[in-house]
Amino acid sequence: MFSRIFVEKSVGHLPQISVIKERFSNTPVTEIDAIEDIFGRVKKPYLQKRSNLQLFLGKKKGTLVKEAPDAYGLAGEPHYYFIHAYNCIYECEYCYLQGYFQSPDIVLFLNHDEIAIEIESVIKRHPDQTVWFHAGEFSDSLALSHLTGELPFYFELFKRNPQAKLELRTKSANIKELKKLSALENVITSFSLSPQNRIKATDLKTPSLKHRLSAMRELQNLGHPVAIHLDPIIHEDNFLETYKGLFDELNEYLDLTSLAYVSMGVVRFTSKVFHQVKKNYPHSELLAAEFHSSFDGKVRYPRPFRLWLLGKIKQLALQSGLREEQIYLCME
Amino acid sequence: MLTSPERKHIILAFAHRGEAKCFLNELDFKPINALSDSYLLDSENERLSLVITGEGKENAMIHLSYTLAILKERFPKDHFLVHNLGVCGHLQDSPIKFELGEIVNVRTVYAQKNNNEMEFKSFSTVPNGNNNNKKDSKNQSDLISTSERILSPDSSHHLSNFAPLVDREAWAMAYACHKQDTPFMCTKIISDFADGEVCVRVKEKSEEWSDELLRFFLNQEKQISSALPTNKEILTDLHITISQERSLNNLMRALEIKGHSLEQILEKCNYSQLLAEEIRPKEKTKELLKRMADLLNPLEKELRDQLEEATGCLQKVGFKVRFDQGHENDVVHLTTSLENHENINNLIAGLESFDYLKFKEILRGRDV
Repeated sequence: MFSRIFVEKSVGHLPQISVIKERFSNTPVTEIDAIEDIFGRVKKPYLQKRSNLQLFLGKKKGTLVKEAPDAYGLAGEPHYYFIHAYNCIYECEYCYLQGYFQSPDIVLFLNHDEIAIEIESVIKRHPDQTVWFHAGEFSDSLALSHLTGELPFYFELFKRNPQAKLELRTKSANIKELKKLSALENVITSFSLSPQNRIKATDLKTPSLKHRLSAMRELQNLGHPVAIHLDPIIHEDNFLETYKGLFDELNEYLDLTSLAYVSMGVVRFTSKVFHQVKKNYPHSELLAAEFHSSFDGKVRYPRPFRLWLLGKIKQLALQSGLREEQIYLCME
Repeated sequence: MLTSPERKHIILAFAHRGEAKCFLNELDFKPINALSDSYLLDSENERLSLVITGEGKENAMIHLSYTLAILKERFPKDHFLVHNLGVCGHLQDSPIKFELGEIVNVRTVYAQKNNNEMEFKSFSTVPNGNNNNKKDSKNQSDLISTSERILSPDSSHHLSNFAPLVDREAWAMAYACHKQDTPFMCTKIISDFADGEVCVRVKEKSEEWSDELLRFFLNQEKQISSALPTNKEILTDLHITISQERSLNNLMRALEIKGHSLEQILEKCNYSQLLAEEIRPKEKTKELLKRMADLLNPLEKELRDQLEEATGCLQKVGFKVRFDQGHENDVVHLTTSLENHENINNLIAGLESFDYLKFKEILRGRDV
């Protein structure tokens, strides 16, 4: 999986390092002073993640918990995200990570105790509100969780703080570590889903829809709150048909009425990311789509079209048994 | 794509004459007038140029930039590609191991600025730079162009964190190519372990390595040709400006992604009927572009038609109608001129007949 592992001296003593080294015993390991001495020092082409993916292990410096942008989560409550990793092992053609960092290499931050201190400090600043904390802003929350081993730590943290909520955003079906933990009402695992043909076309290396739905079903049966992100919604010729099929499959696998929420978002890019998509995936169907530069500078479908797409999907969702209050629009 | 016929023109770029020796001996190169250390081989289907830039980033950048500019001016219809061939060192601290004499295609070139500082900019090669599949990564690697001739153990160790191979020119050549929008390839033969014992070995083995590189190049010629675009049908019946040609190419590319062949595109746009129309060639081109855009964006066309219908009553009485880009707001901008009282009454009648709610519904995503 990794061509090389770089370990910051400051985390060399942590037990997780031994676990990772043992797991990748054939991968050369280099000790370094600081991740930032190497990571991001040069512009490493994004697609080198296919043949030359490196792993960095160290401590996150600076701000560990940041306020999320508007319309990131359910309205009316404060939303934050915390930074536990950079980059992702998956390769989705629309992913904003291809225009965000200067390198596709995976960085895992292991100073979770410091992240927890910041999280609790934010919770104290909102004594009368339900504060949301989202994992998975710059990485997938679950894909490598069997290596990083931080889930029990966060479960303990949110057990101590039942008034706050933790969302683990993922495209993974890797629920191995989650299954070992007792479900908490305030820890929600949200799965990004698309129709299977879309997953095959644009979500490279991610688990199939069926695998994700099976994982969701297992979690639901164990009492873990689960949610869905129908994001990004990408138009195609038989769009209504494929999304109807998706909702049929959702109904087959899950109890939709007990989903924590379903968010919907239409595909969007910053102009920098769109430029990267053109460069990295010159034959992608996304490049033949009807996009334009939108009110916030992002590249999206025109508004009437976005609203039409969202309206149709919401209609399908309600017809499938979801309630109005379970649904929210993301980044719109 | 839709341009006049192109000729393939490969510029073989070397830092040292020793590296180019066998190329000059075996192939029928002739010196190029007014360009020092530059040679040309002209054949029926393609051109080969050879340039020897001299050692170091500055020499490589200046000499190649100048040569590229002159050659592009002399052969404006050629499609250029620069292929840097030469020797490189292998950093022993790197976990990626190569043998002396091994030939490696370079994937991405980085550069050392000074001491342990790196240049941020990097350049990827073609076609290898865009081909990052693991199964194709055998004998592909990254390379750093260094500032120092001889690396200290400290520098060597630090640089090995970024790439296993070092030279002194490739990054500068890639930069020159980038500036002139020219694809760049790079192939190196490993001559040493960047440990200071370079010069003697290079002298002894230079002819042998040059010969290896020549063999490699001649075998790879077929791959190189696939990196260059193929000719497509030329729409000679139309008057096409440069910006229209760009639009045409973008539309063509996008329609091909959607699965349309050139023949299908022309048929669906009623190209032959358009050619027969008695309008100026300029107008024909504009109309063709519009038809292709509508073919690519049918929903946008549908939206446009619906808005046209909804605001028809306003246009009929003389209003010029404009919308916000992307229709992010429920706004229609109207401009007109007031000329006389009758005119005003017509405008009022037009405004009164305008169904704003219907217009708003369309902008809010009513069935498209």
